[in-house]
Amino acid sequence: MALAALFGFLYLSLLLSYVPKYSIDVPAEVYFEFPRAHDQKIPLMFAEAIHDRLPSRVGRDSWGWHFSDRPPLQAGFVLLFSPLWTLLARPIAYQAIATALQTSCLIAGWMLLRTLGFRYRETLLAVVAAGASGFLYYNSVYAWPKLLAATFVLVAVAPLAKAFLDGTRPGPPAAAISAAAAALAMLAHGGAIYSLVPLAILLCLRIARLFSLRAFAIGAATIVALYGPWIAYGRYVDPNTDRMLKEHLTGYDSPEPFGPALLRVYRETTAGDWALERVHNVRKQFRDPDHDRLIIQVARGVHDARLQALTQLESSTGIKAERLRFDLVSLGALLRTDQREICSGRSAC
Amino acid sequence: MSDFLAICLGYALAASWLAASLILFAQFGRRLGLDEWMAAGFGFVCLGCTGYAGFLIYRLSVPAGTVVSLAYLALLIVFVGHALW
Repeated sequence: MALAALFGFLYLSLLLSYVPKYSIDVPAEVYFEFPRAHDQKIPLMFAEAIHDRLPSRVGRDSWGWHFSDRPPLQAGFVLLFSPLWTLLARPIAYQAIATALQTSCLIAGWMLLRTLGFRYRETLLAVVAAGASGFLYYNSVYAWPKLLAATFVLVAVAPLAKAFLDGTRPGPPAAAISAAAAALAMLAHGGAIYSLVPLAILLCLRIARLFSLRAFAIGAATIVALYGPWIAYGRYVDPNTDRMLKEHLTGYDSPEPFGPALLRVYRETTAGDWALERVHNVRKQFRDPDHDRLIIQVARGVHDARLQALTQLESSTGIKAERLRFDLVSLGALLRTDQREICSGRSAC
Repeated sequence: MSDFLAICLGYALAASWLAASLILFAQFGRRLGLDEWMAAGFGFVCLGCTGYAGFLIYRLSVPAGTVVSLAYLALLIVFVGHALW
């Protein structure tokens, strides 16, 4: 816990070490290879709309989104923290609580590893390595609640994995904790579904051997009790059009309901299309020419001050030669640069 | 107050609050008979439920401070009572 707190403090110190004055927009504008959408402040906007009872707390905004399109957990924590808004500016209070929430994934990681029987030093090494990675730094200062969702996914996995390793059936308490954590992960960020669906499929294959009927019923009831109110909120209080689901799982927003849209898109997708998209994904990760050129430029500049003039890549609006000072613009970007260079097996200099 | 100091103060308050809640809930889990790591999971779940409750309470315009204070007080009473018993 102390380790997670220290990493959170480190992240925030790095965040503020470069800019003279903090702004809620800084994490989206400065610290990435490309300027990102300002999604990280949506929980604050949602919390403010509720706290100040703004009419915009329901209904469609000018970009066509509803607040109910995104789960409410981080906004709930921000609201509980709102009494401090009299002491601290809202964006600063938000950044503080949001970063603290994201770093909780380190505690959950510690818990999972210890539950699985890893020794103290092994667990310490794993957690320090994760905490020192650019990935956690990125996603803690740009505090969209993905790491908060990851926290609860790890918590959900722990009792099930322990029971699996011990060769026992999870009892009702383990089922309830696991189910509640899975529901909370979905209430933190819908992206948790990409971890929870494979987990659910694995469980379904062995469900009769893994769970007693009582444990399964308790788990299912827990999920319904926790996730039900949010579903009802998105249906009756602030009815949305499942735009987030449609954009993530069908590729684009459409006027038709989510279910028919999903069926239509997958019916229209041929096996060849599917395979091509997988190849495209891999190429984007490892062989994207624009990104590779940019990385080589950055790496050369990092290692040799004479080479710090970047070529302007049309698609790289986030990094400009005049803005990139090759210092601590983004620890994460530098770490990632080195990692990618190592992965690609090329020397940048 | 500079932004750096303000964010340090905010982070210290937020991290302390989250850590104290997690420890309290996990201890409560231990009192319920859960093993160490299951109790930690229980602590996380209770912490998450606190945040979710925060959303529901504020959204439903219940006097939030009152409800949250009472909830923590009730938990503390149950915890201490269980420990003494």
